[in-house]
Amino acid sequence: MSVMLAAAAHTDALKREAARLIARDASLYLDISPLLDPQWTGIPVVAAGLGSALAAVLPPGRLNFFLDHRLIAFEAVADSLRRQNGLFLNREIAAGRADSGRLPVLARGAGGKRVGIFPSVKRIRRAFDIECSIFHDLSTLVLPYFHMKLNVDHHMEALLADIASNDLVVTVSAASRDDLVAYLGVEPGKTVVAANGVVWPQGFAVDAANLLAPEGAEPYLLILGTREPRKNVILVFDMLARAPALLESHRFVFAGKMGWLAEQHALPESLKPAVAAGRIVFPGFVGDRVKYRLLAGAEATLYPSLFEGFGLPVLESLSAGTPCVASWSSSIPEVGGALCSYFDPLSATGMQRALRDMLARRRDEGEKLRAACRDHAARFTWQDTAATILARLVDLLP
Amino acid sequence: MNAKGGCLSLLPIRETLAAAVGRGVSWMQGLGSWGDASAIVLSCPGPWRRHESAVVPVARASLTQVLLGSESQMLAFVAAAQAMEGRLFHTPVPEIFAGEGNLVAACRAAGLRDAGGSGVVHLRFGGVRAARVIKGARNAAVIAEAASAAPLTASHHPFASGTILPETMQLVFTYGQQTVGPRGTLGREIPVRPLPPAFQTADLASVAAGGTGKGGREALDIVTLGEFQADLWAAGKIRSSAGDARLRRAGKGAPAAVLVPWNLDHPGSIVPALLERLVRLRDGQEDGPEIILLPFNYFGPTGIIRSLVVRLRDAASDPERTLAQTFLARVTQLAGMPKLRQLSRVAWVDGNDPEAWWTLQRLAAVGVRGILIDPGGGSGGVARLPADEPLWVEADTRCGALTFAARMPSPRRLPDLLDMTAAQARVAEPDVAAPAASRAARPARRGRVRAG
Repeated sequence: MSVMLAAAAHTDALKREAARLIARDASLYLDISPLLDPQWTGIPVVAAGLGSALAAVLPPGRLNFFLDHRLIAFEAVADSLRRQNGLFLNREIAAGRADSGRLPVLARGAGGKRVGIFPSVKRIRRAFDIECSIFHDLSTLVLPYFHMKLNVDHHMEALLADIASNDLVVTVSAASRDDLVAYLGVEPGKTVVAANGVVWPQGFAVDAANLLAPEGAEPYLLILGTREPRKNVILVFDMLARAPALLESHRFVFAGKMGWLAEQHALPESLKPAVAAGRIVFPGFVGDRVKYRLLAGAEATLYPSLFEGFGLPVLESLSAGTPCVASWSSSIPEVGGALCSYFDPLSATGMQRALRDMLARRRDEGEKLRAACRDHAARFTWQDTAATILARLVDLLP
Repeated sequence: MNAKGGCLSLLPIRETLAAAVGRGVSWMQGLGSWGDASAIVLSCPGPWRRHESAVVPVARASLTQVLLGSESQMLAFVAAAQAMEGRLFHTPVPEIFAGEGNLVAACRAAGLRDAGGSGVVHLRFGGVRAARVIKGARNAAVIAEAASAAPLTASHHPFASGTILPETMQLVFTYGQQTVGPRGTLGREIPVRPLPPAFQTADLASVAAGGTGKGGREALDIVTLGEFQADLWAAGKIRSSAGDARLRRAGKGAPAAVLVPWNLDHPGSIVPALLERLVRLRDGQEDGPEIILLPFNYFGPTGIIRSLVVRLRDAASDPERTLAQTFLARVTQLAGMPKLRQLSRVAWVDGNDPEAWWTLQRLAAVGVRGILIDPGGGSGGVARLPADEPLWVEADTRCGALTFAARMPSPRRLPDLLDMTAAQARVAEPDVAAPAASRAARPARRGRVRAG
């Protein structure tokens, strides 16, 4: 299925679900708290994708945005979604210009049935007739040592209460759903898997194609993601320390904001000359346009993560036509399918083998592989995410 | 129900176990009948970065402390379960498997010859709060904790109480009568089965019988608190001239020393408070034995050891000297036991620790005399010092802020502890072997577990 056809089919499905919602005289309320993050990665990206998809098919009033106990002006959120960051939305809320009054919880029956969607941790519970929240991963429960304690507390304080107050538990992968079932006994019938989507502004692909000069550009491999222990970037360092010749054939670009815990300081001494020589590059956090350029121009991406609820960077890589060499951990194979070359996330030699295999495949298959990557990624749209959630919520309406 | 919604009946396992025990047949044979399983994967908490693949044959597991704690519980089981060799594997990261598919593939990569049979059994060793499952496998917890270490305070964290296990945990094996298993998952009770006493020290029999001998220096890590570096400790790359010097002096006029096991997975441990009290009371003088901490249940760089370093630095009148005279040691292979015994044959065991009984058993099996710092109610053959002062331990843990009620020796009781230590050291004979029960257990293979 081509990219265009997939998107159209998903949009049609979302429109059908939106029509069902309206026919049941129901309105949707989307918690915008993740959008307040100034730099959107991870959960804010999911909230934005969902919000954008819903805003395209539901008019203001049928779709409402809220923060805690207050409604937030539709246009202020729409502006933030266009800008793809939370800076201006923060300012408007702080100045009181985005406030649209209280949540209409106390007026029983007025305005039809209310359905609440929380993209992550709930800051208010049991405020809507039907509500759901999205669980992105259980890493704060099962791998707490990869997180700052504050983050663990934030998620753990809400975990059981959120599940108990949900009519529907949304997960972004089957692996995350299975974690909820395996650790906390969540009833599988109360869950739905709604995979993340990926979308780039239309001009990005053209922009990247015009900028890239494959004949003259030096090949590089991209490692995309926040530098935190769970992302396991240190495995790439281990691989390079064992096989420094890789630095002669490729530059290694580690893009992503600085994270937390010891991983930030994990570059071995032996690789510091490669940093000085520009063979290893740390551009830090990059905006969407630069991210797309980096993705599209890379020979392949490396994603050694030890644990994911989904693995959005894998999908982003494929959507830019760039194959990914990824760990087989947790949800990642659900996202990468047959377009990734997989390795054991504890094995630097395994990663090296998988990288070698993928580079050979890239040479052999060329543009065919790039097209396959894009086609695979096209199956993941925010319209599909929204339609999947909405369908289950409408079914639950009394 | 497993993660995929399928029922995994435990009935054949229970029946076989009961029948085996009832007939007086080796319990091992009973345990073997879990296994229509194609592989039995063992896990316990620990620093994952020491390992070079997600699944290894259990004999190649890279462990940090084989004498005490969850790693030793796993090794004791392995020594008792050698009939299953070839199907026993270790994973440091059970959390990352999405199901049986990639687990079986990883086992094959690690050398599993026949991946037939009906699936994988996962045995999880260690504390209840740290229990993990492998989705799609048959999961059982093997627990050596007594139930006395529950926190006083409530928490939002699902597993903070230390009595709740993951939902798909199907069975609990307990080590010893002292162990009281958890009550169940959030939604149901879990059957509990005790393991035979012989399991507890099965791996130590050959070590104990071997007396002191000349153990491998590389199998015992020792550093001063002043030298401690979390990343090196986690990676297992310990090089310490002070530690080497301390070992060379052992038994040759070095100051008397006492081993102090420290359960890093018990947030209510009194060990940090006890050491701080000693440091303050000593005020730079050398009253009493040198302290050699034996931390166990080490999850990785969590800041717990560093916090102790900071605490003692703040408490000491001469911080550098204090930190240079307080040691951290760990036995990474059983071959390191003779070296440990050269350092000291007496240990202070925190009776507030839910694994205290396990620690005492293991120390006794290798000829180290434990003095139990007893919070109350205990009886039996072990030397005891009643802990007479109530202590509230408030700990900021990964399960939230937890408060524990503990008891420790008051300042006026500490001289008694020092006297008892000296007396036990005099009694300890240099070549004490293990109790008969341990000798009777099947000998473990020595030196098969390597340090990272």
